[in-house]
Amino acid sequence: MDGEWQRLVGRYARLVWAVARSHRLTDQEAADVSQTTWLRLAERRGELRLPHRVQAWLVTTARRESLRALAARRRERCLDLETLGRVAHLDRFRVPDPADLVIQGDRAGRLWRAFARMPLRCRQLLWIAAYAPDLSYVRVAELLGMPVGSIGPTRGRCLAALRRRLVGELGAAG
Amino acid sequence: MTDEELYAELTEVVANTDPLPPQVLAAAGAAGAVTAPRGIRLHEVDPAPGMRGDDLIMLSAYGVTVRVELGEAITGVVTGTGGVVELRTPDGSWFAEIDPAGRFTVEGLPRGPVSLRVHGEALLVGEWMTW
Repeated sequence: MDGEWQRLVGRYARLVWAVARSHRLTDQEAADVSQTTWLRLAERRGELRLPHRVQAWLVTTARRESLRALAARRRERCLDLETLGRVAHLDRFRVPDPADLVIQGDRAGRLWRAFARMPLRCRQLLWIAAYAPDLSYVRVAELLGMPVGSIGPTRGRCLAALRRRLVGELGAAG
Repeated sequence: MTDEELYAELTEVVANTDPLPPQVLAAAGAAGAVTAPRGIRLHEVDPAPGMRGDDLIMLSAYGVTVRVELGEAITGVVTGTGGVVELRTPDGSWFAEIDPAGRFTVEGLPRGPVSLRVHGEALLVGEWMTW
């Protein structure tokens, strides 16, 4: 294992994971997407020299593979019950609800629950940005299929909505 | 609390609540041992209009096309060459003969990354993809 590869993995593994998870993939699906993405990069190492190109390429590839994983899940849903018995993890059919997760800390738990109930678009935007603060708006726009000019305002609206929900959570907690 | 403070807090909560699993990091590290294959690249092309895209993958290189259908098994049609299809996974390879009509079928392939290769007159190598 060479140092250059380890540096790449160290820098971007969380980003690739976040792209997959922001598509609401299960742990297993996101793990598969991540591994595929890194295998693809390994075979192309000679072609992608500039760091920002690597980042962009990883995001685009992880997104494409995430969509493929979602298509595979839809396919599996169509299989008959006899086939279901052969599928190792019925978990694959359940979109994980982060609100199920056990969280340390009261305020963190409320913030997470508020976040988990946000519309998908907001969750994706904030989740990706949370993992990759240096990701440019251009890349985020590409990833979410939104105009670049709308990323900043949308992020502001999403944070405002999150703040309102958090207040609601606090209210609910009494 | 400002937007940036809220955002910083959210970042921390997301990172703590959905951390990168160690095995995912390990698999990414291990992928670095994979080197570029010596064969000719099979490129993914868009299926013809009207064909359902989700379950159908079209690969092409130098007059050879591979139409792959993803279902309970992986089936496909190869035009332009005969030989053997290899479905490579990180855990080993599954092989299938291309029959005289160009068809092949592979059953029991585990979920996860897969790279399709055709061993014919030349070695044709497809990109890794998630199945």
